Amino acid sequence: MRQPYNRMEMMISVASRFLEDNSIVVVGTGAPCAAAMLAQVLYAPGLTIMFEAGGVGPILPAMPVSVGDSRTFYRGLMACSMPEIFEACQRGIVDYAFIGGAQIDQYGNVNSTMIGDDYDRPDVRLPGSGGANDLASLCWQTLIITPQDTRRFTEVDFLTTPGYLSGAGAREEAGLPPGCGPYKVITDLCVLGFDDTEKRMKVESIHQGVTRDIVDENTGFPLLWDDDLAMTPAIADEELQVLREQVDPYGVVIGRS
Amino acid sequence: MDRSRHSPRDGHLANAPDVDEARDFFRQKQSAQMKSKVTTVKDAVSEYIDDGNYIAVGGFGTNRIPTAVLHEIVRQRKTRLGLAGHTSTHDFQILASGSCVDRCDIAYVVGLEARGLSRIAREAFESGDIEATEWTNAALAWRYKAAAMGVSFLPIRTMLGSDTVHHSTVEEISCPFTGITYLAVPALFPDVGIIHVHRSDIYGNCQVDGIMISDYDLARASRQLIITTEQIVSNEIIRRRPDQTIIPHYVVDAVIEVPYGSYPGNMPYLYYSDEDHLRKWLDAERDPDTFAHFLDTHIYSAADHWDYLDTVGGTKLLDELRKLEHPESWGVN
Repeated sequence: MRQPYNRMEMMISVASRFLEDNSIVVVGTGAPCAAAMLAQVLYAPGLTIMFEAGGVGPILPAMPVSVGDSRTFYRGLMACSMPEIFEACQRGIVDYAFIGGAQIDQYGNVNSTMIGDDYDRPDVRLPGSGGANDLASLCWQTLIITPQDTRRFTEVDFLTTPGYLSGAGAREEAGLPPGCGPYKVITDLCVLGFDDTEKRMKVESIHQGVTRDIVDENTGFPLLWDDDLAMTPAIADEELQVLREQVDPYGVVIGRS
Repeated sequence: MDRSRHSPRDGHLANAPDVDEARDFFRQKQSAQMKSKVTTVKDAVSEYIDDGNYIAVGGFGTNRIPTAVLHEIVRQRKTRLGLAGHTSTHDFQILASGSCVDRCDIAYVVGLEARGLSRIAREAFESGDIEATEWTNAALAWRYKAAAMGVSFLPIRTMLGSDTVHHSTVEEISCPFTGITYLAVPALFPDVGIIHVHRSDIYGNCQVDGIMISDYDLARASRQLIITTEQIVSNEIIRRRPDQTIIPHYVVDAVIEVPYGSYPGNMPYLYYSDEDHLRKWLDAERDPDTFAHFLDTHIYSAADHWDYLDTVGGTKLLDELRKLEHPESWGVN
């Protein structure tokens, strides 16, 4: 019998499958970092993990609490600076940005600035862009990991981090570097990509035990569906074991779901 | 996306990027003389930080932060400060606790990364008490860099197409060579920069171990620069490894030795962050009376950083944090 797992463990396990070996990824705090660490153990031993504060290629002894703490360059290849990391992204050398987010719309635009309709008096003030806008503007492909419900999958109150903005060609029209944008959105229900013509979110696979109705009910905008809709491969015991024993033994990320 | 969204902006430019004025200012300071700049935290804060000043804090929120100076700013009840919110997490939380800030260039505030959101920091923005202007981490890092280069702006390829642009002070420009679009971000010259380092000599020649974050440029962009250091070392130690010097004495105004100066933050190779204390701080914020008592215990009634360390567990705690910083020793006891 397969081991039970929680929502966070599932999202991290699925997300870890999308990073190619011998590529470069800049990760945010929490789930994105855990997914990259898991990928490095299971699928992509040649993955170079970068952190925006300047850590490059660490052998992570445990989950960092901050993307700037000393674990992000523990036995690393380089301890450099924030400009060095973002300039590498701007130069086109970084394959993946890996981020989370509070709200996300059908074009993959993310809000992490504020909830409400008055910027000067927000209902909830959120942290702001941090490096998310920069990473999603400059890295070739952006992976986004977030739980799926109608509160999160909706029109964004504030466009902090660009997805495809208003659709195909809009990023280039706004002046962003051509040829990049959101690649996959990994949720607790499914994996979404973006269709070629409209750059709208398209369901590519649904997780074990999830139905199309459940996905639709938890989404605040119309979704496109892949003609070859697949079932997301089951979470393997090996993924859970590595995640729990090597990646996050203290439950910093997976313990909170 | 509607391009008109890129024109009028309601962000507020805290300091005009006047590079010629900055040149004159830096020339007048004449701080190239090799003289001791050693002082106390108390004196540095009262001498260099005036109400209304615009300040910038080095490190990364809970990593290599100048805690002693931040607490002293609160103790001296400085007000109406402007702040560069460049991954400002616990540092902002401290300043918000003392209601010291009334305007902020935001790249990242309010949150403490994986630890959650600070209620006191959130309320400072939600109430409208702090005037906010939006940026990104790269944009603020490059604004420091422009100032450090002595140019009034830099062209960047981020923020484009986002709502961040409408609450910022950027201008869209075209490259004169290729015609491609950039956002011009203005140089940022903070009135006072505050940076914690591993070692400095009495003149302010500083060395840092580990990541620099944005401190190379921040040090050079700041009109006045306060350094706290784990250790004051002899000038000879600096001269043995000048390749490790990242801040030269001629940009430094004050040097204060503050061992464990980044506590409760992390200091690379020396001690890890105190996650229990950071959690207690977040929890205490939920109740005004509890929080007032918390601040009184840890800041207002503490004379200095050593006093603060005593209130949280003293040398026993510091030994634990030193051990946490060295994963290679975790299996050994």
